[in-house]
Amino acid sequence: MKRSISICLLLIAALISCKNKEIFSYEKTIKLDGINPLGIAIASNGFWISDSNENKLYNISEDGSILIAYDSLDRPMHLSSLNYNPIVAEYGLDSISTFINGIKSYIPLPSSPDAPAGVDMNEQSLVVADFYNNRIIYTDQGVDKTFGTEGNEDGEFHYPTDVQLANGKIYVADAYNHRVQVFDSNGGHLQTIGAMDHMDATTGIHITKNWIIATDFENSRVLLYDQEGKLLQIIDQNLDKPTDLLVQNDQLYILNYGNQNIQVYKSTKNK
Amino acid sequence: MKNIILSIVFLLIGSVAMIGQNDKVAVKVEGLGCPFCAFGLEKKVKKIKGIKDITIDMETGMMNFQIPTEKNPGLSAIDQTVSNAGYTAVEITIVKPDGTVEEANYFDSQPVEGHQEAKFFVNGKCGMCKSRIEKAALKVDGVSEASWDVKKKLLFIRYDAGIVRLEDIHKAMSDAGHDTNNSTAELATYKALPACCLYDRKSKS
Repeated sequence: MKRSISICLLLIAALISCKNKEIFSYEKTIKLDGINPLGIAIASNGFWISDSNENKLYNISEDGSILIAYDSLDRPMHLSSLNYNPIVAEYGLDSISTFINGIKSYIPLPSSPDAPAGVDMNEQSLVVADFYNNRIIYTDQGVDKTFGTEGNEDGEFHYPTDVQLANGKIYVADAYNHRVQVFDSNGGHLQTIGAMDHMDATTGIHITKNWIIATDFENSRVLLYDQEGKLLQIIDQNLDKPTDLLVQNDQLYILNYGNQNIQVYKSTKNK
Repeated sequence: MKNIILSIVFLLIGSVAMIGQNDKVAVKVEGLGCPFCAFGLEKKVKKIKGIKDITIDMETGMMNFQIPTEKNPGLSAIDQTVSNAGYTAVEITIVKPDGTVEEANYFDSQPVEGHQEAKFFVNGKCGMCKSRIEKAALKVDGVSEASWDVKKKLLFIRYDAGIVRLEDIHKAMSDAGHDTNNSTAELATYKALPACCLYDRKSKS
């Protein structure tokens, strides 16, 4: 009897332990009526969402209401924001555009991309995922440090779709090599993440101090890694062709391109 | 003599009238799922000389564009152009400035009773692969039905064994970029597939 109780207690403890390993748990769904969301970035009053199907950029509130809509775009893909102003990779126009107080302008690049799919920018640096050229256009304090060629070795790309500057590094969603790659500030390869996790089209990434989070588009999953590349969690509920994601205020926002909504997951762990 | 001259004059007037006018082309493609591939291929078609006002609707799979009437190469050439860009046309409709319509439907074959049936592994990944594989099979003279299962990667066909050999149908698959157990696509043909169609070549039946 005592032995049976001990085994039961051990099993319960193991179950609780497994549940506690879940870093993000589902909280809610934000419906995006009429929007086919592809890219997401932070706005001062909610989010910026790109819709490549309809050639639009939306500013939405946290409940999904449309606040502003811009329609002078040509296949806007992944995006970023600087001082809450959106920076947009215009895939069809081979350009990076930004909107400040409603006025559109273009950001100069050291060379012309062929279908820019993702962009990130801070006060010193700019990176662009140059899809058909299989490279990362990269300027650092005005110096052109563009890197990458087509291939599947370390440092090579097969249609990169997203890119982010974080932690002093450059993170790239190497979509059709089905992995994430990490580079230093000189474009030197540091890490390859997720290559053995059977992703199919790693289209979007979001990086925090401790996590690397990637969308697995064709498998409708999101994979969460630590900075060493250890897989911590796989999210696969309520996802339908997730394209992009971001973390804000302990919440993970996942764009569902397949069914026009944002899945919101909450975390109680350090980000 | 007078009638001949008048006919020639009217023909010339008609031709001159067509210059500067555009044919409206509608191409239905299937299996569009990935926006990077779909809109990338839109970009490729945009670069073709003469084509303008091209748009693609992900939900309906309709690609529309205009081309000057005198530069329109015709249904077959448009189909080939679309194919070279990575799409598979299911139907093409051309509306001329005078309202006449030319059209082609590449999937309207009817299965024939008595034809031999076969089922074999064809490697691929997605809805776009499905369209490409089935169209490539139906284009083979003697094939009356073709249906590819995306998950199982199995192609079911009905064919007239008196007209076509099974190995020729295998070859048509690899010519389209899709490996079978009996026929392997050229590397260049495989690599020319859209990114989202690049199946794992190591997987076999």
